[in-house]
Amino acid sequence: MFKYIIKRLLMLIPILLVVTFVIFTLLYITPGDPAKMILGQTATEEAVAELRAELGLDQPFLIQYLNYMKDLIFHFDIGTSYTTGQPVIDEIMNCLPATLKLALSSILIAVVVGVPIGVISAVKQYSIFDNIVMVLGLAGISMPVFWLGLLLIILFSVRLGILPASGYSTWQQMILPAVTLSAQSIAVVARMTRSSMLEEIRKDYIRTVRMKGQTEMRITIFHGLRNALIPIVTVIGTQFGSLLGGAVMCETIFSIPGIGRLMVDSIKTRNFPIVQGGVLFIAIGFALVNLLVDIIYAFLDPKIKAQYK
Amino acid sequence: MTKRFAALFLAAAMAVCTLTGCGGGGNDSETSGASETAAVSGREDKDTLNVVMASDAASMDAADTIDVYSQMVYGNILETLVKLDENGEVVPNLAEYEMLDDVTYQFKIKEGVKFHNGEELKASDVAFTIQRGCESPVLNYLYSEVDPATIEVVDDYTVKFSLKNPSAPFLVNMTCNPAGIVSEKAVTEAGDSYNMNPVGTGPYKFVSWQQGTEIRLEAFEDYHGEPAKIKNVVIRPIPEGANRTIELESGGADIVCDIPTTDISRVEADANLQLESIVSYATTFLGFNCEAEPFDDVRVRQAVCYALDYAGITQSIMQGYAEPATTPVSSELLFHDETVEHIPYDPEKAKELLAEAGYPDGFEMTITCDERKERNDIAVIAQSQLAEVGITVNIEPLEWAAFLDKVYAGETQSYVLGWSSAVPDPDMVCYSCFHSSMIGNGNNNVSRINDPKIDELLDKGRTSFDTATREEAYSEFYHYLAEVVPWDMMWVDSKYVGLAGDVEGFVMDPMGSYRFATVSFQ
Repeated sequence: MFKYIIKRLLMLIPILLVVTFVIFTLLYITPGDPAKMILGQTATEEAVAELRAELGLDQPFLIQYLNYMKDLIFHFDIGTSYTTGQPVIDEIMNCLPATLKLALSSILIAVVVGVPIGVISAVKQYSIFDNIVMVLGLAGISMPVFWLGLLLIILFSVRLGILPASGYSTWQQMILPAVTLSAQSIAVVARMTRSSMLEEIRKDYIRTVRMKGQTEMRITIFHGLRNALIPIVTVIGTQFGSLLGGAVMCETIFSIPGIGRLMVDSIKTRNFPIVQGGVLFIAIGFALVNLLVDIIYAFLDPKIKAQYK
Repeated sequence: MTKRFAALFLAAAMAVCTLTGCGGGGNDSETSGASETAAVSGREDKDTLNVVMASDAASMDAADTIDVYSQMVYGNILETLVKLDENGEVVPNLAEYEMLDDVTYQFKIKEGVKFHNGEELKASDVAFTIQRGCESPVLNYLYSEVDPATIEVVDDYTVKFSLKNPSAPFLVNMTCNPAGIVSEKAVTEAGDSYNMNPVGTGPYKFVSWQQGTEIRLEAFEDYHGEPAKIKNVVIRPIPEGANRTIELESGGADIVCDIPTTDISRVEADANLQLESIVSYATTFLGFNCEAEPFDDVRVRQAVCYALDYAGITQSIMQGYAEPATTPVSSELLFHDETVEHIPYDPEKAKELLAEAGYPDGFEMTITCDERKERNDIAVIAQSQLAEVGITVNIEPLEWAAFLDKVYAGETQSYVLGWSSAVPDPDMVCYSCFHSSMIGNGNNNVSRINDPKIDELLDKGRTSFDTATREEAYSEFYHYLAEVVPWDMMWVDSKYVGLAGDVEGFVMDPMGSYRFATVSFQ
């Protein structure tokens, strides 16, 4: 198992190399001069040229990329923000608590709400509950985050006045963004749980367990759900991975200074080091979440554990 | 089964709509009710002013950035040597000034003024600030005329320096926030981190900045003038317009800058809120590339202006919340001339001019714009109105940085752009956008108009110290520009600020860079 984890971590290196090259190339060919964006419309061409030289933007593409990789590999330095002059790692770390708080609380809600709903839906297939859940699930997947966010703000902040409309410092402030962001994940998790459970509870071993006199609750949770968990865990992992970098709309609506918003703002201002650092961070986050999911597989299924060498 | 699904779906949709009030009509009154609750509940903390703005500051250092949000913060922390009074006259602020000749200025600094770090303001700080400004590419527009070699500290409270050429707008420019005086000691000690730790002599001192979350300021006890009325100011960035208004309605903010156009009437109608507005320094227009065909011919530019109903476009896009513009500068700037008239809407005249210019059947053109909605709307309406005179318009929407690249490289035929003056004097906008010396090399004459008459009038406006002569020069310039139309003016933007019902003493600013020292709660 340990060997497997090490092997997976080592496999991260080529993935990250490809990620850095792709993002570096994309940003290089993107129109828009970072120096002009920093200095503004009142700056002279000489000042812009001077700043380009200072930032190394006047160098050929390969030299720029090699310099970036040299700093990354030998000094673990992912650069300095063009606008604030602060190290990129500090800027990302400043945004990380907000993003983690939001992603973790959203995924927690998605699991706590989505899994039981999916299980009940499967057990009570085609019941009124099942139908309502499936319709709401469809709505949850289809509803744009910014729209749901605004509806919730209007209801809970303006009409009822019981929850703050923005911020992320207190737990009250986290409720609306976490619920908004989790809506889609709840729907995905519930639908996956339902279909996975439906497949599982029709298998022969469930019938055998039932014949042995086990209670329905025990059959559903300890036999059905446990064996149905693998695809559910996969979906939860994918959802969590995308929440780490993809919560831009939610962060904008609720004024949360997370990584998604940092990256979008940086793209607009052509703050390339932040964008590169952010993409690298999200790629690492995604890879680690996937690794965690694979490790969880081992605990869920001894057959899979046996394959990890 | 299908029926059951449909019924369930409708029930769910109705429940959501009922709870959130999708039915437009009742919205206003019920929203007012909510904010009434917030207002009636009483203000718990009268020592803290909660301000919301549309974006976070980029830096606390004036030498780094001049964006309006950063200016709003450091404008409360720093002070300038001179300021404009209510009549638009330059008056002493931190210093008395004297012009020793056409190009030499001497400033006598007020004694006993303290910086937030406890140091006394000295002539050396002023010299340091001006020297720093000369070296900053961002502040080029303020200090480009200053000859850094001439900066001299005469004594502890006197500093003098010379300009390279006589410049009438120089003193007015020195009243702007980015010309705020910094503490030499604080800048030197902080080094690269000064942009996160500003030190000035203003009524508020900097406390903390959690990027993207909040900036905290605190009233400065040793302030040399009238002290700030509210002890603490918390400034939060909320980029989403609707959410800014909601913060005001729900009592989460006392001052909300940049109320979106769609929410203005709602705030205005709410008896528990106040709405303040002012005409800003920013104009929006359709620009032409006067160097490239077909807009190198003034008749074609005029034809497009005749074919576009600029007042109608303004009304339909800005819903009555912006003034149609006739000159490239706002009516709030010095030497504005109200007698200038925009080319009227007259499609027949447009067709005549096109025929005269050799385009009797019209031509095909491209309007480039960035992703801002109202600028896209101008392009879309122009497309339909110009089609009536035979001009086929292609719209090229680009992301902001790519758009700027193309416009500055002179690769556009026409473009929708906005321009805001950073100073109350018209010289900055007019000279940089229309003088022939400002074409190319990243300079701002992106319409690429090269006209000796324009140059002559702008030089006169820049170098003359006689107010009447300047006023006359700019008046003639505006009238002439309305004929040669390198820009087809659309509108002058307005600034809208929402205030909680008990906020008083707030003063609007055409640049949107507000001061909070005079603000108090009833």
